[in-house]
Amino acid sequence: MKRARKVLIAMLSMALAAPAAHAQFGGWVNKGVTKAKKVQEANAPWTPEQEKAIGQASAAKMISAFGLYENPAMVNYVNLVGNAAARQAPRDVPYHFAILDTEIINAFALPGGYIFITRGALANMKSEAELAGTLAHEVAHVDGRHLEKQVRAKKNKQLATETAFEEFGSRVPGPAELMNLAKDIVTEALTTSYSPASESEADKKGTEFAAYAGYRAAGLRDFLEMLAKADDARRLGLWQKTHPPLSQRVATLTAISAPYGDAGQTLEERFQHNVHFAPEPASKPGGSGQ
Amino acid sequence: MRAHRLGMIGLLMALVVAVSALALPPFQGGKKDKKDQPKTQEPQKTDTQKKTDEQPAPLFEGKMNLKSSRQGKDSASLGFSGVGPNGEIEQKVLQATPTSADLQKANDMGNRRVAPDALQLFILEGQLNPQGAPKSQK
Repeated sequence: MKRARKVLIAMLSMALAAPAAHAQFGGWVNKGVTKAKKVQEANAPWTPEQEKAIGQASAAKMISAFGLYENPAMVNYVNLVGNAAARQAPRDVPYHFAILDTEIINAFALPGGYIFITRGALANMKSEAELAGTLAHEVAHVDGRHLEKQVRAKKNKQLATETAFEEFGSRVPGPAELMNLAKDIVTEALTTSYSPASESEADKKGTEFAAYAGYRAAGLRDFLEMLAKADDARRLGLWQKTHPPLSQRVATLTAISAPYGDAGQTLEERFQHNVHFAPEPASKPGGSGQ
Repeated sequence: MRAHRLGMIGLLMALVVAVSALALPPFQGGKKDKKDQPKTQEPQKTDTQKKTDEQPAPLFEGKMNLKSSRQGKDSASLGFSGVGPNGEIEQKVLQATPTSADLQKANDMGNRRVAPDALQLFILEGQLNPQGAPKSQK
């Protein structure tokens, strides 16, 4: 009888203490579960729909930064060359290519297959193989989700420091979230370099895509070799900031492209027929927008 | 005898002076000639110069100018909007919000498709590879 009373008191005490214990420790448990869920979501690759929406918002941001060079014939040609190379990439992504209206020499890959090349870069190329090699390198960045992984790694770091984090799971982010993501992605593309591993993978795969497409494998190497001989901080400053040193890249690409030999098309004439910049009136302040 | 000695010393001194006088012009002439002769000996190198010489030659020698896509008298500064003198992107560019026109252009870019027939023709004309890689969703 005495023992039964003791058990009853113990059970009553536990029942009374349970809500308080849940309030105290359940919060921690829930927080841990939420955080684990967020980490899992942050590491999940973006779905094709998310990639498209994020890529398009980032493309708008890139266009707002430099403007587009809207020459339909030249843009169509760049899309044909880019898609001829992108057909060799294994991941099914719809690729879209455009020309940025800036004299700086660069090319950018955004999620969802949005790829930009600058008119400064086009003006300094000599052949279709050089253009194909450059675009194939950017295709390889998209194919390997390099920028996505880089942004995701930064988000994980933010989680670790308990700062704000935009979670969207498998849904397509809303307009405000897209704007924030686009800002992160374009800032990353314009101010930071890819990791050496990503850059090396893009060099290797890009050369492979261009060579399998039927172009001379050393197209990108040829272009970079010419850039390495130049001394133009304004045109090349961003490239130098966001890529490994040009002489190092040329040496790497020489080794990567060597097994393919000199086979493959260079198509200089077709390139020069399609890529030429007409003289502009001296008084015109911006791009020609032909 | 003493006078004879003095005479001899005087004669010797005069001889020395005469020989010296004869010897001087060729030395001066030699100096002058050196100016016209090609240098046979390089000036002594400083430590820094020596260090530079010991380093391997750079991979790419000489600098060339890059082409501008704009041709015109005032085109030198065109096409660098939002770009600093060292190629860095200005903060105002990174902070700018896309306009509705920019959003529309990005939308148009996303909707642009290369027609499969046009791509095949382009590939054939360029004698490129008509086969593509098998695709995956991953």
